[in-house]
Amino acid sequence: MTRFLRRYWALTRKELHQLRRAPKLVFQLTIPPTLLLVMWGYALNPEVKNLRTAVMDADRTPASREILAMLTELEAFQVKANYLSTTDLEKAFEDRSIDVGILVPPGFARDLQAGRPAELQVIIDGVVANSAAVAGGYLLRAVADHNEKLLRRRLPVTLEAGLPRLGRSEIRAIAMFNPGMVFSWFYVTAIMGVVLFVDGSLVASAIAVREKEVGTIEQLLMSPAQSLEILLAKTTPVLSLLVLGLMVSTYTAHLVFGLPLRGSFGLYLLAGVVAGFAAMGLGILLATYSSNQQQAQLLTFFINPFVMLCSGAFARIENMPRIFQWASMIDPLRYLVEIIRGLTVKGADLELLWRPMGALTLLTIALYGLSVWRFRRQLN
Amino acid sequence: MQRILAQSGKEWKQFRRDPLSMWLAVLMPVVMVLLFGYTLSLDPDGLRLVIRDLDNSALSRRYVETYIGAADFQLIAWDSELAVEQALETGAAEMVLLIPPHFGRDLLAGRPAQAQALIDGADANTALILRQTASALNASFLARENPALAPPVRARIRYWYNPGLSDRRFFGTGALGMVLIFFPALLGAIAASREHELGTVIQAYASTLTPAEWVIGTALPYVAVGCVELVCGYLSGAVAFGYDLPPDPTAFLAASVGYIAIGVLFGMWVGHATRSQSISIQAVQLGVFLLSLLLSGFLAPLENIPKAIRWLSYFIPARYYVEVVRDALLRQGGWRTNGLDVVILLGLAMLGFWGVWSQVRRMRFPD
Repeated sequence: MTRFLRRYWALTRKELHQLRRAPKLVFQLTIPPTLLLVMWGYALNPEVKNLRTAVMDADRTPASREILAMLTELEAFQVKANYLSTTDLEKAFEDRSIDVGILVPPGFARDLQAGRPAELQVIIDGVVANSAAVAGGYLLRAVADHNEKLLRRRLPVTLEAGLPRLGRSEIRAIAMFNPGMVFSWFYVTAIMGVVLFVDGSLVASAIAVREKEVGTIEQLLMSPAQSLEILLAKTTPVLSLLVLGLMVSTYTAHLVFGLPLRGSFGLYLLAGVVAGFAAMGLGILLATYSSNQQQAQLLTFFINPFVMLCSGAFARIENMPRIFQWASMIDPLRYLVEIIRGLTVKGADLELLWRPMGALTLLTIALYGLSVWRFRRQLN
Repeated sequence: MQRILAQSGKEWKQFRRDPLSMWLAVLMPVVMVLLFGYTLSLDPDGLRLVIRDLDNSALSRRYVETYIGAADFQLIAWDSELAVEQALETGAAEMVLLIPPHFGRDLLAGRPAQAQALIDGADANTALILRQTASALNASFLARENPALAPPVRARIRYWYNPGLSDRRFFGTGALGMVLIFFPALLGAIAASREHELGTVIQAYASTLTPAEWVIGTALPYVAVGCVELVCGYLSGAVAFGYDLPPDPTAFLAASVGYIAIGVLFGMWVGHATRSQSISIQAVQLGVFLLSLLLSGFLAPLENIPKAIRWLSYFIPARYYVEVVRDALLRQGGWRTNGLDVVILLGLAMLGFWGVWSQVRRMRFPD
């Protein structure tokens, strides 16, 4: 064991020495990820503003004007046009000059007066499905609020009519851990994990292939070191940079987006180290299948979207088809992101996080082990 | 023309020698369209619901059943001893519906009664949807139990061009936009920088081809590869998500060829500027893939990006192309609806050609 450590340390010192001569790598692994994080935190915001809206009031009563005024006051809908016929409205849709049409049909006020359900017709361009769903949600919520107001106005009438007096049930929704519903926390935590993985695999595959290209691999082969030692030593400096990058981006996310770190910092570091090994294991593994730099880069770039998108970092895993759900089970990034979210936003501890922690560790051992085995086989 | 084709033939032979690139060129669009389409859906399915009913009256049970009956929910536990906070922390539950004691008694006495929905806020997207679902279910319970409290106004929303509101179709078209600029740019960058690394660029310096012929001849095979990718990507999207070519596909095709050419030419420009394969590959990843992903409006509305960086998006070809693809494949649009975007793309392609052309001209030995 001591011999192992001595040799490991000697090799690591050689690598660290090389690293000092490559400040570009240090820069590359800390600064761009942080900038990326800030940009994504802002850019990936699903809120919807200023949809081009056309209104058509075919009822022209105080009731119809009231509901239209209420809806067009929302930030999501910006009134661009006022139409008098449905053909004009439909034509505007076909020309793509509007995204939303709100239509109050004739008889709206009469229906309301008579206590019949009064219908409000809304057309939303559904191609950008996310934004359409969010906008639809805003609209339904506003209509629900409006209904509440109408009901309260109507209540004395209802009582006179002697209808059953059941109280109102209400639901109070509380977003736990994130009462302000900050969207960026979800994406920022995703990017932190993704960057660690993408950078780790790219850099490790570059290092492993370079050995092959430059031919220093023969030298290493002659040394008494085992391939595990060589790889560990080769990857240690990169690992420390990856973890450093993770810390820098976490702190930046805290400063810019107010992301909390409610859980244990030690556990956070540990998860970063373990996941760093998994990422580098993946990189080395892909490098053993490539014969030069571009091939390794292309291959890593082909595999990384799988790792990224199956992990559930950007959308719930349960929304995916089954086959992608199964794939996510062997995706180390899935567990890393779960741990990051658990420790930052949710303030969970090891007792609650042992499942993802254990899964991440197992996958790391498997991935790194496989890459060491492939690397050794290649040397022989 | 023949001279151009001769240069193209040489370039094509070089490309063919690398089987990995060949395979990736065909696989990449198929995989990306399916992967992006299937994995980025925000449309919730199987939301994990835990119920704690502290009232356990006839009314509270009916209230709870409204939630269980909703299609999106998957009941995990009902009235268990499960610690609420813990279930949310581990992700075992995404929403806990908490019914307070006396819920039913208050309602029967005509007093308002409040239930609580504790939602996992770590995923704010899903949290937003859960909040809306909860309030809609509450309203439908009320309307059923007491018709006098039924909502007076009902909003009927129709989603045009995408009635089922499937976001899979939408993310798939965006992925097509990403692949069709990234891979051609990569090929262009590798081709150009390889010339410098191998020293064969000297042939370009001294060639009898005019710079324009040389640039067109080199770019042509990669644009063709891009067109093959377009077909592969479109076909996989057509099978998986029901993409449909518009009656007049010329606008879409013109935009696609222009867009692919922009990618190839930009890649060549980067390759000649950096003269190193691995640096130009990194430049393409950063400059083409990441910027297109971020600033094309493909993942989220551009409006939400701070103004300080939003103007950059006008220089990102993906912004225009994603618009064209969506309009053509999902709304069956053509020149009338997206002609301007197509023209801008073709203009950008000309600009790219001018960039590489002047680069090559400067590299030439004086006659």
